[in-house]
This record gives sequence, C-alpha cells and structure tokens, in this order.
Amino acid sequence: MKHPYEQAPPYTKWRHAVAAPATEAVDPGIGFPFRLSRRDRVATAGSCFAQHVGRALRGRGFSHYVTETAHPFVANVAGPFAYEQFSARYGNVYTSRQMLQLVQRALGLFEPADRAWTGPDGHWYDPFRPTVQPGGFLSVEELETDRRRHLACVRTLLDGLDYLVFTLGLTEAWMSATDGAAYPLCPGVAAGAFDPAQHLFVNLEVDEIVADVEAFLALITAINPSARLILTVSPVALAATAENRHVLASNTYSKAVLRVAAEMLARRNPGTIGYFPSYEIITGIHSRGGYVLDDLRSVSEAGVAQVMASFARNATRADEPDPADAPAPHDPVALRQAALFKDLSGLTAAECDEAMLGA
Amino acid sequence: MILAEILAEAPARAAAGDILLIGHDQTQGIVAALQARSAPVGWGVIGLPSGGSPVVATPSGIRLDPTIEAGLRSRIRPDTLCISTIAGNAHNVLAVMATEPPFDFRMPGKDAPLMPEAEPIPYTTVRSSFRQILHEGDLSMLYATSAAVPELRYHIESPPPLRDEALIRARMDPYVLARHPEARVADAALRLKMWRLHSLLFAEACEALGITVVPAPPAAMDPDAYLKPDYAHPTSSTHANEAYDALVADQIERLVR
Repeated sequence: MKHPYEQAPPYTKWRHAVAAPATEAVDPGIGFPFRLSRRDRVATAGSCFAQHVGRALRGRGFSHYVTETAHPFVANVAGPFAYEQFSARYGNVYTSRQMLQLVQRALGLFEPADRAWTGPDGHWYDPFRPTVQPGGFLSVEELETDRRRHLACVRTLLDGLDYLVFTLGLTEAWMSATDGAAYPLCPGVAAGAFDPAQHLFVNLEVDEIVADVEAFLALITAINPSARLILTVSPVALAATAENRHVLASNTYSKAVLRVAAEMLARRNPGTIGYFPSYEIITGIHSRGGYVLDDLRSVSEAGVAQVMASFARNATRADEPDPADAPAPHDPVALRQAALFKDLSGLTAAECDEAMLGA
Repeated sequence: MILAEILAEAPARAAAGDILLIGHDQTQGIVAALQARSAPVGWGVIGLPSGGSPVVATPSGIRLDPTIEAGLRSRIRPDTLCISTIAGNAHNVLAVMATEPPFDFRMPGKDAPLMPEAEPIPYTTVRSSFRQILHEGDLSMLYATSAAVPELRYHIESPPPLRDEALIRARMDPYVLARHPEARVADAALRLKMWRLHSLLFAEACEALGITVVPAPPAAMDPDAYLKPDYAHPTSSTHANEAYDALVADQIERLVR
C-alpha cells in the first residue's frame, strides 16, 4: 500500500510547488472554495492591502461594489477624502473587532460613547475613521451628519453584497475603557488625545478574532443570507508595536495569530468563508522579498498583480468572457453635468470675448 | 484675438501715476468707468478667451506666457498702480445651476440649515475641491501675474450673486437653457456660499502674495450680501452692470488718493 504522500498532488510538495517553479508560477491559491462571477457584487474592507484588492478587482472587470461615492461636485478630491478606497468610506479597518463594531453600528446595534475627537487644527475628527476627512469637520454636528450618511451606506452595502473580501491586518488595537469601542489608530496619532485611563491596549488572540468574525458574518447573513466572506491576511508588516519587544517579533506573532484565525474560520464555515492566500504569495520565501518595496512593508505593484492573477485563476469563473476591455458604462447624470459645466465655462469665455471686442 | 494683438492696437500709456487693470470680464467695464472720469487708466487681458492658457510651466514654477508678460511689462511705469481683476467667475461656472444631485455645505461660523433635499458635504471637502480647481486654473493666473508684475498691489473681489432665481434664469444665455432644459438655478444660499468661498480662497492667495483685496462695494449688496438687482448686468446672469463698475471705480479712485 502506498503511503499518503506518494499519491498526493504536486502542489502539496515543497520541491515541486515552491522550490522548483519560477516565482510567478508559485500559486498557493489552488483549491479556493468559491468561484466569483463578474456579475457578483464584491465588497472590500480591511487594512491597507485591501485597497489594492478593490482597485485590482475593478481593473479586471469585477464589480467592486461601492455604496459610498463622492458627490460629483467634489469628485476631483475623492481620493484624498477616502472615497472608493473601499466599498464605503470607512478607511482602514485593521482589526476584527473594528469590523464587528462597524457592522453593529451600521445596523444600529452599537453606538460608541466616544463621538468626536479634536485635532491640532481645532476641527473635529471621527474617532473610528480619523483619516478620511483631511482638515476635519467644522463641528460635531457636521461630523455626525456625515457619519449618519456613512453608516447608511454601510448598511446598504451589507444588504447588497455577494462577497465581502476582508483583509485581517492587525491584532494590536486600542479600545475605549468605557465601552470597548475599537479605534483604528491610537488616540493622539491622527487626532484626539491619548488618556491611559480611557484608552486600553489589547492584543487580540485567535479565539477573539474567530468570535468577532463569526459574529459580524452572522449579522450580515441575517439580513443577506447569501453573503459570503473571503478572508485574507495582510502581508504589510506592523509599522510599530505597542508591546515592549522587537517589532519583528510582534509582527511574526500578529501575522501568525491572524493566519491561524483565518484558517479556523474557513474550516469551521466551509460554505460561507474562504481563505485566499495572498499573504503567502507576497511573503513566501519563493518571492525572495521581491514583492515588497524598499521600506520592507509596502507591497509592490508586481506583488498585487501576482495576487490578482492567482485570484483570477482560482477564484473566478473561467467560462466568463473578460469584460475588462468593454467600454465603461456611461453615467447619464455625470455626462449631463459635465456638458452643463462646459457650456457655462464657454458662456463666461464668450462674455470675456465681448468685453475684449469692446476694448 | 490674443493679448499681443490688443496691446498692439492700444498704445502704451506713458502718463505718470496711471492705473493698470489686469484681468478678465470685469476689467473693461471698470476701465470705462474710470476713463469716464478722465483717470489715466490702462488695461490688459491675460486670458485667451478663444482657447489656450496664459500660464506656462517653467522649471522655476508657473509663469505667464512670455508674450503676455512682455506686453504687461511694457505698460508699467515706476508709479503705475497695478490692480488685478483676474478671473472671478469660477463659482458661477460650478454652481449657478443646480448639480445632480443637489448638494449643500456649511461655511465656518454660519449655522443656517442646509437644504433638506441636498446631499450634505463637509466644508473641508468642498473647500479642498474648489481650491484644487482654482489652483489649477484661475489662481494659477494670479500667481503667474504676480510673478510677472510684482507691482500688483490690489485685487478686486468679484461681484456677489443675485438672489432672485427668476432674474438669473431670465438673463441666462438662451443657448445654455436650450441645451439644458432640465437645468434649474441653484439655491440662492448655496450660490452665495460658493461666492464667499471663492472670495476666501482668492483672499488667502492674495495674502500670501502680499496683495490687498478690495471687497465688493457694500452699496451694491443687500443686507445678506447678494447683489442688488439694480446692479445686475442687463444681459448676463453672472456679471454686474455699469453702475456696479462705477462703484468699483470709486473704490479705485479712493486707493489712488
């Protein structure tokens, strides 16, 4: 009788699957449980690596489901104001706890006591997305108005998505001592003021992350039963650790915890959660560090392309035509508005001409 | 017609203590008002209304087109008072007609309620968007002109908007209305806010350049700062009339004195 390894496929063997192939031929995405259609509405959230995912999905003709877009009047600053980085304007969602609370807030199940932070400019910042509004809000009222619209857009997103790609980024987090509200950034970094009595450091463990993810997925599927979750682990290393140890050790621990949690979640929920190994594609030794930039944290465009190529092979329907080359659908309102601006510009220019002719 | 041609047609003024207005739409009307009272005044247009940009990028930053710069410099004497009437209509281009969907925002220090049906946009977003548009357009002309004409001392604030939507529509270019029959005039409060923001962004740029802003003449404005109908242009919904230009000429005369 042959032993199990003799019958195992080549991709299970390091020499065949990692050591021998060219870097770009190493593809750990094999066996991914879902096949996405380009008609599926794919939402994105998570740490900064998820921004690459959303952009790459759009570039490959997938429907990156975005429910919070910039008003056409301010579309020229959509990027700096964090529109369309993700499916809604929540900014980076680094931890499972932050994501759980975002879903709870969108569904009206949680309202953090911490409502607004002030910045060095005297303006107001949202503690749960402090970087989405450069220059801040003029008042708490303006902030609250924007947040109500934001959370309504998140609710729409949860109702309508087919897949949520969520990138687990960090285990380390800061939370409110009052109600456990999880902040994306330590108070005082982008805005607010750090208070050791009010702001507690936590380093989430595997069982906490598993519980968080299962809890937010349960909330989503309660209103959207067909929703599926695609988990990835961010390959971007910690910028800093709040533990008193070397950041490299903290980074290894953090990524290990996230990877174990993702594995457990996928095994426990095979019909609703799939793990996609973008972390392995970027950080695996086969890449010899070639997919990170000089800061040894940021992922290169080549790395993102490699992840998305694997995603296309292993997680999408091969029998679908690639609509990437199809012309973008015209937005009749945007076209009408652009034509109006053009004509008004022409009108003022014509009035200039009149003035000149009278000189 | 480009500036070089205009300058060729109009001989440079050599009078001592004269005034040079540099700008766009409003320039000629103010010049006429000043000339009516025998002020020694010249003017230059730095825009190219039929297309093209008067601003060029150079290794040392944005500069005026050399031909335009030379034309302006040729008209400046040691005691020429140089005044900017550059641009001033971007707020109208962007917001005289309502956008789809409508939007609204609050200016600092103002608590008036927003339009209920409008999408609220935070002030810093609107400001950043408008600043970028101006920075790439009208303000670049101010920067370039200031570099070419360090003597530029004053900038004339553009006229405020009319309050009356029917009056604006009545004086809107028929071509625009025919092309956009669905378009409606934007909410008056929004138009006023856009003008105020436009003025604020110009004022910040002027302060950085050491240029003093001459505010729109109070006599032409109602208590809420809208342009009084008496000062509305007879055929344009976005400009002021000769009476308004005369008030600005009064302001300039006071500067000269």
